[in-house]
Amino acid sequence: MIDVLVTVGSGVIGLTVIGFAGGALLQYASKAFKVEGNPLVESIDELLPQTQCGQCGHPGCKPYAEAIAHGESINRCPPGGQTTVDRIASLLGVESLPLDADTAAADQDLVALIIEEECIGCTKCIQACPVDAIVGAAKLMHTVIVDDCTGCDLCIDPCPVDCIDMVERPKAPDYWTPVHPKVISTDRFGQIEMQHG
Amino acid sequence: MIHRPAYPPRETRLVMRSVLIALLPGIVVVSIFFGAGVLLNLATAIVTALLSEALCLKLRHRSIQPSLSDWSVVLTGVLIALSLPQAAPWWLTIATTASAVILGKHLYGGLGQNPVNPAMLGYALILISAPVAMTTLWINPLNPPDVEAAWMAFIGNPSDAYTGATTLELYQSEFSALTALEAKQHPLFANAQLGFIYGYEWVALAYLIGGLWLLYQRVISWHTPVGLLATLLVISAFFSVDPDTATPVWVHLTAGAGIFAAFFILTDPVSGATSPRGRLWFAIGVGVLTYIIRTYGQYPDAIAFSVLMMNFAAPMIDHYTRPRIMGREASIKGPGGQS
Amino acid sequence: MAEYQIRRCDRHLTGGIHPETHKQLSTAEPCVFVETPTRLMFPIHFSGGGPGEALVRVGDPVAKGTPIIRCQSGIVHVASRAGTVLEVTDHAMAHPSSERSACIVIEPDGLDRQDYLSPMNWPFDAETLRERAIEAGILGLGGAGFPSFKKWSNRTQTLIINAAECEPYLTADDTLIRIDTHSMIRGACLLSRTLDIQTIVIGIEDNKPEALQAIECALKESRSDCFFDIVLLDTKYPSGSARQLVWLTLGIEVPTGSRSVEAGVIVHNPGTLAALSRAIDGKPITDRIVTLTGEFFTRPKNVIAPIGTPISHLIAATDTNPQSLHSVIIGGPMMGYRVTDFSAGITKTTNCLLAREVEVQPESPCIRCGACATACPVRLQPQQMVAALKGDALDRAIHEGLGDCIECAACNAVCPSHIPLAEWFRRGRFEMKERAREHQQASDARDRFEARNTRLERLAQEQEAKRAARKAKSADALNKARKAREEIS
Repeated sequence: MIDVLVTVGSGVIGLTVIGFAGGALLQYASKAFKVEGNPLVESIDELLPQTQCGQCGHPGCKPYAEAIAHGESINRCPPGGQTTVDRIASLLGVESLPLDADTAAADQDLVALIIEEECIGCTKCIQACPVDAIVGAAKLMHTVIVDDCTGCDLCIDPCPVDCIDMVERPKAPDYWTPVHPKVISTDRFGQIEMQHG
Repeated sequence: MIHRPAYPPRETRLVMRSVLIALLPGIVVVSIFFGAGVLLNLATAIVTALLSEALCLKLRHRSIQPSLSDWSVVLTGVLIALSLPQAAPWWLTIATTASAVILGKHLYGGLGQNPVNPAMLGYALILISAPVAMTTLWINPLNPPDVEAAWMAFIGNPSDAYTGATTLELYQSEFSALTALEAKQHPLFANAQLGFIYGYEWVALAYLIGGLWLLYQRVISWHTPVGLLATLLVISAFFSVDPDTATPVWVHLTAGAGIFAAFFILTDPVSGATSPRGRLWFAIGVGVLTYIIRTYGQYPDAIAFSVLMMNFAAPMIDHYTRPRIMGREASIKGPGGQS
Repeated sequence: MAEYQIRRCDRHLTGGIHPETHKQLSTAEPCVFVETPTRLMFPIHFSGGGPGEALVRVGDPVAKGTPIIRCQSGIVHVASRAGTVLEVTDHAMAHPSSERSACIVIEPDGLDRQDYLSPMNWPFDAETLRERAIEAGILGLGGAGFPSFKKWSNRTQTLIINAAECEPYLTADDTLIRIDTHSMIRGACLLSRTLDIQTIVIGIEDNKPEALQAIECALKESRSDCFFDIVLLDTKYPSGSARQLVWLTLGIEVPTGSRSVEAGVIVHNPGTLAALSRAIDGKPITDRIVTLTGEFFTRPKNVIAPIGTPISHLIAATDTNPQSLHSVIIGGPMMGYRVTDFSAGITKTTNCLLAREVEVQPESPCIRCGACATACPVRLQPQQMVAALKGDALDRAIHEGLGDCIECAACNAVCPSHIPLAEWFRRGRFEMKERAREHQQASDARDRFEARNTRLERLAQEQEAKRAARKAKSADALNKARKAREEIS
């Protein structure tokens, strides 16, 4: 009886001591190796497209990044597309989700175009643009700087004469893409067609 | 064959063909010293391998002809047949080959996708599943069977007259009580023609010649065989300071699958490391594990398990043995990349 | 006589391959001029130097040397023969994209009108030379087409003349060195004097003894005081790649992510320097040497052709019927690309037309043999990079060093599974650059967003401060008035 108690007791005491020692070590490590700031928010913000459009429900991309760091769902950014959702999921180590938006619209790369014949120079769109991509002044012509426009379409609604269109972002005249090599059947699941010479 | 090519062969099937040619001397010598059993095993293994691969390709909706014509599964079958006991019955060979091809290769996606060496996977599976067959059916080279006896063993009626313990098994069991000098009296060593072990030494020499030819043809690089053999040499030499308790250096090198593995098993490019330095460390790892299991483990020969364990370590070895890219200060370490 | 030395390169490329060079195919016959074709085609956005704008309209007469395109970088492209602008229309081009794009089509009239620049007199400074290089349209004639003036700065210490021409079949540089050595030397010397470069290195492969002899003769007759360090390289592909050449000749490893110019070294093609020499005399680039080679050409040779010559015209110059060919490779077998529309016109960077049949082998899975890693001149691991790219893991591929790949296709040549590795890396590098560009745009957008927020906050605070000041002022005035009333009452 006594030796059973001794065996069990020594096991319990031994493991408890080890547990406390491990806990103390972890506490020390969490203080000694602490990283200042909250780099997770910055890492998530790096992955977001910086359109600052507010479609996720937050006033900008950084607030949405902070919300994600506090548990908000990761699939609410249409301009980022499914790629961004997957990247954030990979960063956080969680399962990826389908994009919570119309994916066809999300895939397009659009910019705003002010139809100059109709513009009345009211500056409402200039005030609405979150990234200062519209040049102009009161009673003078307004124009969108295409390279600065992120396609958030926050300028569409404020325009009283509805003279802003969203068009596809123009590509440089010398833009061309190298051909994407085919993936052969043994590389990917599901592709059955095999390459034959 | 006289001129040395400047590059490895430009076709997968030529690589496989070169390895098969390099195995021929070994096959011939094994048949001479250990009877016709190995030839029956070869035939069974090759046929089983081809049929298993064809079945798997059909199930995966892939075309059969291009995959079979690269000879890789034939090589898998041949390596298995040469690893199995020479008096192995037909079902043993079929089970090993089928599990190697199906579970070791096509389960993971076919050629180029297997994480472990298929031949060694099949061997380990069958060793654990049928240990008696795998340990009692090795032919004694001093008394090899004739063709009829070999056929009897093949169909499942082996005769005890021809089987015996392998050298490593002897060192594990009988010789542990004997001194080195006493061990040397055993007929296997007393009748040795080259001064090592009767029969096995010729097999090792034949595989060595084949392996050196492969090196010459630039099919394999020197890192793998040198890594394994040098490691076994160094470790066993270190422990041979007390010759009565340790297995001698020359036994480690010539007995068992040492040379065969060094040139033909470890050199499987898919499951091994991919950089030259990585292959060296891979082979060293196999050597260390082989010595440990041979000496302290319960299996006489340990190449299969060591190779399987090092296969799992191969990706990490790759991550830490990259050459230094031109223009960078140090070689990249670690897997890296988010996706 | 200019001071020079010839030395054997003591460094050897790790990696690289030794393909069959096939150089004799095109050097058996002498280099000739081709007849002026009936049409000259000039792509507006793909002639080299970035997107451009046309300087002429349909119907305008042009002389040899009249500027017809000005590019975003400033580079000017000129009409290579006198004639009339026939049309400005979408046309096939000598470009890997196989797209059609706006081209200026000129019909030569066979007359000898010229519209050259004025000859420059020595001494001139770097700024003048740069402007002349822009006006004469000098860009890398070795195939890359990088505007040459962008490489010149006062940080430059060494000029390397890239006479390696390591790609099989190509002999355009070899031919140029043989027949126009003095222009090349003169261009190199004037450039060096202008940029205050002390040493000129000539990296030349040892399979070009005639070119070496020509260089020696020219140096003996030259009155330049520059020192020439001629380095004989082992014939190996790709020793002519800029980074590899800098390392072989000077022992300098250009750090990853930066260019050789930032290390104080400029590498120029011999044709570029010869063109520079002519530009100093007033002549913009109007012609270039093109190697017409390959087993399918009846009489392969080198030719001097006007820029814009249709490919079919050049094929006919080798006594081959263009109809008999399905496609032709522009460039060499390693880095070239196929075109099927032979009406496209050559550009300044078209150095070779190669007509040979290549059997397309079926691709099989990678067996991780590592032959590609052994062949890579940059010491990358192509098998790891292509596994990442095929699995859509661009980050992993970038981590393995995709950004350092020089797209030389040596790995393609040795792969036993016939995997098109270089095509994967070209595509992967393109996607990498696109992603970096998008990331940069996003960062800039974020900066502007934050600047705007700061500005709005500041404005709001200023408003607040003004309102508070006004309030305080009016409260103050109210108090004063109340006090005054109290005193009165």
